[in-house]
Amino acid sequence: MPTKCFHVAILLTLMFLGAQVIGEEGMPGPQTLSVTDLKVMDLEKIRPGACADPLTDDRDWGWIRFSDIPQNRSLCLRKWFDLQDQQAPANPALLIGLLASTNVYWDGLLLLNNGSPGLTASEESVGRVQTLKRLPVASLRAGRHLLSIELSSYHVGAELEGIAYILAILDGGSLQETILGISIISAFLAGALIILAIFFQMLFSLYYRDRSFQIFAALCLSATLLLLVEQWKLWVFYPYDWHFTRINLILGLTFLTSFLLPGFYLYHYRRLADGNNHLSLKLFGLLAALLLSAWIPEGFDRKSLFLFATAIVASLMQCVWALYKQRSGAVINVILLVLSLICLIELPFVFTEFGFASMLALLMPAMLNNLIGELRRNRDKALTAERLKSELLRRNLQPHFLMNSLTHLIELIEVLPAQAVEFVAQLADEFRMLLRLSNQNVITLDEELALCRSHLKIMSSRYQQTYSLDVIGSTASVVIPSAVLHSQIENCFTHNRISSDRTFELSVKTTGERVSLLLKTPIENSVEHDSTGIGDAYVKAKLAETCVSSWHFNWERKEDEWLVLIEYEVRPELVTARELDPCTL
Amino acid sequence: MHLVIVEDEPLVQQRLLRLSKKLLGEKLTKLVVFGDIDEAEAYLEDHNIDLLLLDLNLQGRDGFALLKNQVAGSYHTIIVSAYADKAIDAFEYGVLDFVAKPFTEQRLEAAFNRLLESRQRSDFGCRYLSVKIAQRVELIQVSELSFVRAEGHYSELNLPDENSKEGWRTLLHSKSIDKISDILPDNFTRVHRSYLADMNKVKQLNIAPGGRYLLEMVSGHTIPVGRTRYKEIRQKLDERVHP
Repeated sequence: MPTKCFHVAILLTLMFLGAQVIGEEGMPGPQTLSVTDLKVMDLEKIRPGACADPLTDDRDWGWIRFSDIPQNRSLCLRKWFDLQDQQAPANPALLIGLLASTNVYWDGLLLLNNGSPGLTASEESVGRVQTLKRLPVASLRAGRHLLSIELSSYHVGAELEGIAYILAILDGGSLQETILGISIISAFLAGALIILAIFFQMLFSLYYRDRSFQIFAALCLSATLLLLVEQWKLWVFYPYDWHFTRINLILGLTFLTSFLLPGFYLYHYRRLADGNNHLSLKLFGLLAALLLSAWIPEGFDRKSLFLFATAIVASLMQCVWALYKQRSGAVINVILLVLSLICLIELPFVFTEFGFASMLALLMPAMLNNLIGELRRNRDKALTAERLKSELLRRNLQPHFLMNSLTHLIELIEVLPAQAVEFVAQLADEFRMLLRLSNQNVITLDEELALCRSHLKIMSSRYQQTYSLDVIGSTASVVIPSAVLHSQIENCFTHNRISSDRTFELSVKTTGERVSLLLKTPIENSVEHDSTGIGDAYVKAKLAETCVSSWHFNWERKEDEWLVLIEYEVRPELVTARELDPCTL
Repeated sequence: MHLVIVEDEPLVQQRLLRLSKKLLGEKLTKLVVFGDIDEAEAYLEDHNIDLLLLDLNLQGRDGFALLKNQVAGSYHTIIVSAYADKAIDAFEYGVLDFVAKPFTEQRLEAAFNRLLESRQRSDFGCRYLSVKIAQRVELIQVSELSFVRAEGHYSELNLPDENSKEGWRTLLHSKSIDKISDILPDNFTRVHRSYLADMNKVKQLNIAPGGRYLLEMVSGHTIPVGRTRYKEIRQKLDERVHP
């Protein structure tokens, strides 16, 4: 438990720091002149050059909010600044984020060309989605200045909510630092996610074919792509007519990632349910919820937010269920998902900007913890299986069986050689059968009965009685964990001396895949024995290993009979594996 | 010799019977066979037998509880069992021999010889002696035992007891001093026809008036030493001081 608390503490710290960094990067610095309202006029209504000219009288022009700039227009925008001393940043730079081609002028002089604006779509030559231009320090001396922009926005490609993102004079140095900071974080996250994707894909292909590993690999890959496409704008100022394609790509990747995260949890916790866990139904439900989240809200940012929220809530439901079922690691997942949800509600646009990537990076230790736990369980399971296998053989090489049989044999050799030969053949039969069955988890009931009868034959010979096994009910297509009945029949002889011809009786009942076996073995000892022998431990371990969790194993004494009741349903994948295994044919 | 065999498997029973008859020949005065120890119990109570050949499931506590009862008897017990890994435990409880299954005629002969050519000790000295006290069987640590005195067909065990006034107590064992001598460890020496003493608990060897030799035990008891045995005892005590 202390280790778990430690993990949670580390994750919370990481999460907090992450939110801090993201929060700072998202905010403009203090030395920034943001432009919100501008004078506006259609380009075609003024003479060419009039937009840039400080002498042009714009007092009659209308006002427009920068963020409301419409698409498929050609406009002139003007903004007058009254600058005081020291008001401008140290390394002033003009940052424009606008889906339009622009010519920008400062005090009537051309500052930059971004593409070339035109009065019609064909006249326009497409500019970049974002531009950054250093301003000469001299141009910002105290006094009145004019920023004017000629723009045309005919190539956005689709109706967007807005085409203008930012227009500001800011400090070029700190902007570079910010971009560098974000880039480092993004590169770090992308690198980590790609390594994880490769690691889990290889784990799946080369080591253990658990579908949840592959889903996790796909999730990491999809989150990496989302992060890279999202942060692309920082590194490459692409032509603005690509912007629509890019945000569609982002939406698609958001959808994929939002599907894979809960999908991973669905597969990871798929064995929580005892019976059918309706996996395909749940996947269908998830898909429907995501489609609604992508369809109903207006605008890309909101669609993204809704997708993320749906994914987190769906994942949370799985993890809460896992927590209820007391799965290890579930508590860390629940805490992180709740925190992610809070982060999404409190800082929605920071969340969409950095997307799933940072959240995934934070969830990663928890997921790795889960998966390593699973690997450990698999290893333990393999060890248990190996142990059971050798125990099955060891129990039959134990003194009470092998040595007593050999003593019987030694007397036969000296007195009745012909019977000795027969007895050796019987012993060989049983050992050969045990060797073969010890390699299989699950066998048919008929095979198990053959093993039991072989054992009874040997015991009949040793005790000079006739022991037989009667079966009531159909054994056709019934499967059973190997040597379970055999161990009970063996137990009967370990604790018991049966001095007359006796019949063992097995009743078989099946309901669907569920099998109910009632084995009656004779008791002649008057002494009460404790029946929790090695045989019982073997049966319990074997049932736990091979059957769905609702198995039962009970026994009781009824007069001169020992009643053993075993109810179980062999795990479906083991039955299928058995059918496919050529060794069993 | 009065021999009892306890074995549940018919052919193994037959084997023990057949080989015993062959090996003991005329020495065998009576031979009785039982399928399990419960059935044999009453017979063993009522008859004075010499040897019990016992097949016992020594896996778990029950086997040794049964064994404890048998070794308290006046007769010797030889275990014939598949549980060879329990042989040393069985010796500690005071069995004369442990014959592991499967066994040959030669091995059974060797076991019988331990009894017939008396004073041939068992492989390992026992660590416990089972003593019947009233209806119970008590296990005595051999390491506590100081000396044994013959008491008719029985033996009197002498050992310290914090609870008694004298700091001492005596217990009567059903086995004769000869039989006890067979199973006790090497440090117990027959110092007299009627005495068996732990050499490690001897204080000194004294000569009493009349030329009688006496052993003074650490406990303060004095026990007589047989005239013919004096030399051997002297030597053993010297070896003890100067190893």
